[in-house]
Amino acid sequence: MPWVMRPVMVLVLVAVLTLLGVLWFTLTWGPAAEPVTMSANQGENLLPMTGTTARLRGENYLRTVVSYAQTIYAVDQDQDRPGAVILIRDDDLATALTTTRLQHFPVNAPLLYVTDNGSTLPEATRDELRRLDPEGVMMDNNVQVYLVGDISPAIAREVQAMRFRTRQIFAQNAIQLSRQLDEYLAVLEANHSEVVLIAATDAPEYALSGANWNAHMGQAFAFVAPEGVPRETRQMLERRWPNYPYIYVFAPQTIVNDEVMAELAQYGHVQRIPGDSPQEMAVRWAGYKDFGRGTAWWFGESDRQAGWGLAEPGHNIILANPVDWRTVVTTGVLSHMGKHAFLVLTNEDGSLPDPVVSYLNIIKPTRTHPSQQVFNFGWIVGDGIPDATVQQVSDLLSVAHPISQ
Amino acid sequence: MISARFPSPMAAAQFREEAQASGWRATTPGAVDLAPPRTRRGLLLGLLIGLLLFGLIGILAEAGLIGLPRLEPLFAAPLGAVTLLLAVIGGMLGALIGSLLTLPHAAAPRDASGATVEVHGVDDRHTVEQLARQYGGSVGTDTASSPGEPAEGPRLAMNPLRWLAWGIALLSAAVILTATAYIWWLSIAYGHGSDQGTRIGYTLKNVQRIPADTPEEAGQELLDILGGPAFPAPADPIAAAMLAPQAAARGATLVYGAAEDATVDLASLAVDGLRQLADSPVVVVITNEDPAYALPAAYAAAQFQAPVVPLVNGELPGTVADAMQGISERLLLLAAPAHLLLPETIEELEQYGVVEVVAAPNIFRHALLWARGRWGRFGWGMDERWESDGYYYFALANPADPGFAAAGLPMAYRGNYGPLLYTQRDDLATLTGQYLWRLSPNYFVVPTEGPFINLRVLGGPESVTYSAQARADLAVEIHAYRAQAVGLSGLSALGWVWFFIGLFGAIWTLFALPRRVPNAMFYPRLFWPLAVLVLGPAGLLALFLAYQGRPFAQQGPMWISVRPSWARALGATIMGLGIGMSLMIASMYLTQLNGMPLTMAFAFTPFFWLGAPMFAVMWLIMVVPAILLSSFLFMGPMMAEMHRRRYWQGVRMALPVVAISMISASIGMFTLIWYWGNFHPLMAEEDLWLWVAPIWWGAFLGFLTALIPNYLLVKYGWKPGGM
Repeated sequence: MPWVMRPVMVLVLVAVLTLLGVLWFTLTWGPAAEPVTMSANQGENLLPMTGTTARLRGENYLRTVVSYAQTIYAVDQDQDRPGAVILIRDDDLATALTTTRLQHFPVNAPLLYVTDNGSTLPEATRDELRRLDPEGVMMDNNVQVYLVGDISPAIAREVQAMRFRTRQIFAQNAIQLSRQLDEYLAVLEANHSEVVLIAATDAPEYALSGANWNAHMGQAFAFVAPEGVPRETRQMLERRWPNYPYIYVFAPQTIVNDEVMAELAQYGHVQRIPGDSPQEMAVRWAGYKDFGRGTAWWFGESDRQAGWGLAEPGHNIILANPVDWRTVVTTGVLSHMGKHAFLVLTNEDGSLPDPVVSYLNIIKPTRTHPSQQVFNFGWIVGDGIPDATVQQVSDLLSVAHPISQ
Repeated sequence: MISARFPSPMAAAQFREEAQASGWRATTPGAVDLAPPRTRRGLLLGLLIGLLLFGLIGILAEAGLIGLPRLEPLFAAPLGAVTLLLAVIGGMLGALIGSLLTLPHAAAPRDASGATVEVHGVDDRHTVEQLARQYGGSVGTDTASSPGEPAEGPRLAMNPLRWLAWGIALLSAAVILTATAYIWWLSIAYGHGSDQGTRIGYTLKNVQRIPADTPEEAGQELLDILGGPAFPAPADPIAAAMLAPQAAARGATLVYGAAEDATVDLASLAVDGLRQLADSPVVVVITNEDPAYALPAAYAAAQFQAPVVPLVNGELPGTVADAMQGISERLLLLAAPAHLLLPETIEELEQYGVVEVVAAPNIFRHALLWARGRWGRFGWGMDERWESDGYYYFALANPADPGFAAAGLPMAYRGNYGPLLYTQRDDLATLTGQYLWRLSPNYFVVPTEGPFINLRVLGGPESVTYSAQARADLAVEIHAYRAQAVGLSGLSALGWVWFFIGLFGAIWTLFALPRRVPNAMFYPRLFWPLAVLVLGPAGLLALFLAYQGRPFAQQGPMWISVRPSWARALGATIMGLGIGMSLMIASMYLTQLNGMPLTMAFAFTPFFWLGAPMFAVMWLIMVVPAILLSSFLFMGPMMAEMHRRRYWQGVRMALPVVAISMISASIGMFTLIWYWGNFHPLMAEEDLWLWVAPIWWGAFLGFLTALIPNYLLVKYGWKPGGM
């Protein structure tokens, strides 16, 4: 028998090749990170806690957004890093709202900002990009950084110079971008999402809570304008054929009138999310649940789910002040992983609206036994919420009638 | 016994079938026996020893008695999965060793031109002769076999094409094994992290850190965090442990190190506690010698407001003993391991009530005993083996710094409260890690349903490193029940069981085929081990169905196994898939590693789905190279040798049959992977535990779908199926 065919020889050769393969992988790992030696007090004033909450913020809005990414992605080892990072402009709420759907798996990414009309990669973002060192989206050529919206090609080059693989999803406005993103994700998943969330171009802030849901679920997102349903949105809705879109409108009747609703109803099933203010709409969306038929064919079906639908204890919230939307729309990553929290908004002065207080009382846990006790938890984001509100929320979230009181 | 000699193995096989149908006992000398009786005994013995040994390790680990360092993610799977996986690994390893040690070389047929059948227990030589003649045979010739290998001739001689085929086969196996080994290696080595110099603070999604570098600071911070009236306590962990239940009873926050009077009289603290918490049915007994053992018990005592009494130098102080008189109805939970007790301690305590020792010398296990334990209403009852819906909040500290754990005592009863767990400094303690991974929450509809688990770390990085914190954060992240992502799921455990049977089976096949089928040709010696590797138990079963008890004889230039047509279909399928499926899996892995192709070329058209990574492009990348390599380097040369044709003629003959076989296999494989990827979130990345399950079961489904065309190819003579 030739020596190459001797079983021992074959086994040894395969084992050696396997070991070389594993060794090669190990050598491709970056250099070992420096041990973290910062004081436990570091960021104490920026990241204070209560018994049931933790605040996330940085020295400015860019760093506040970075704090969300740092909370979700420890990046201490290979498997707690993101799939990618999504870069968006800091001056376009509508674009940011529609982009959150990209954060969901399989992309698995935080949102970070570029500034100066999409032409500058700020230091805070660059530092965080370096720290996150995304592993790449397996389902798309190991893309590590998405540049979404009207972002300068110079940013793409800058990111590529940092040795990251990029994909640019370009559109001049949010309406067009919604369609582009929808098609990109349809290709990625070989399917168009049957659930479509709709925001109004003239009052996008109503859809902040929907954007967080989309970071959690990755459903479709589109816009209507005061003059009606834009051509791109109509084309997008028609792309569900032969299936049927389920459309959820995040705007009160004063913003999106019945005529536009009727126009949307030509394309699929339409519902309006209740609430006369972004705050009320967010908390109603937290309790809202619509489920049932998604798509169906002769011998199978898939269901649809829209809305958090939470009316019992054991859940987590993100409490944000909507005044600075830049620190709100980016909280989607906190809905995407970890506590999978939903967004609740304060009044502009940072106080809790009555519907929020009522809702938190509904989901307040009562004491059972520690072996089966459920708890609520809250992320307090940004610096627009005073400590008094934090204390009020902390009490509302905590277990009623604890044994010690 | 009457021997009948036939001109071809097929004729012998047909005669044997006819003879057996007539009620005669007809055997074929030289028929393949892959596992003779001695080997079977060795195999069984090895299997039992390995299964018991590794299974026992699994049972002990799942019981929380021993740790499997760096393999904590295995414990994300349901109870029993670790034991099953280890038992199968051990059993298969033992079976491999036992069988190979006892596997003899088979006798090889010397005569290459025909085949013999022996008919036993029949006196009528004439009748046998008549039947033999119908198949061109004659009676009276003796069998021809001898031990040892026959002359090899061109059977195993290497030529450039064979070198290439050999190299590709080895490389495919190595890529597949690298892929699977890397998943284990990543679990052990963690991979690399990034510098955290730009971090704002220590807050992580599931694990936060109390911002304090000393225990006293932590005490003050917790007062700020938890609020409520302050209950000052001295900077003494034992005193704090005894005072915490009293603070809890008053609705106050114990503040470690805030007491102005630093002198501590443990006996009077205990007497006060017994008086104030007189209604408690439980008394917790600790020892002052090693506070780390006292604190997990103190967390439970604080939550359930049970008095804590100390053993000083192994015995109860006199005043405490007096205060304990007349409380014989109580349960005394003793939180001190034997090495901290005097021999008579337990007996002395029994005069005050029923004594139960809740302690382990291993400090990490000791903390877990208190987290798991429940005695009536008292006790956290967070048993990772039975609880799967816990919204648990833990404090995490280093037992080497008991001051921090003591400062965290208010977290036992205020805010989102819970028990104390311990970790070592640099890395999350193995037993604690196993506990957390087993508790790690699962969701069934959407992740927002919970449950959620949270920890809060006490101490700076010199006490508990960021790495230990991050590891805990990873462990308790909520995941889909069946997928688990970074942890092992029940489904992925079964996938790995399947894989390991294939792996050890492939090694066995590699050694057994030359020993037991010495005339096996060059190519079967390559594709059978590969087939078993990628088809797992199905591959092993196919091997036995194809060879066991089958005569092995020369037909033209080839040595083949004489099989019924269904077994030839099996052999023909393996012949194509052994290398083809290995190549498909290897190329799928390499593609996943480098990122699967996605093209927007068909976007906004009805054919947008063709650009999806799991469709056209991926299929082309996996299947086309597999068809070409298999045709040019394996089936083509084999066909050329078999039919005594030129190489290119062999390739031309091979290409269509390989294409049919591989395309039908890929349809089965892709269907399963696509279905799982789209309708259940089970499409795993290449570095996750689940990766093997869809790939290997997809390969099995591909094998089943390829059987159909291969049966037809064999039936109509396009493929031999005797290899």
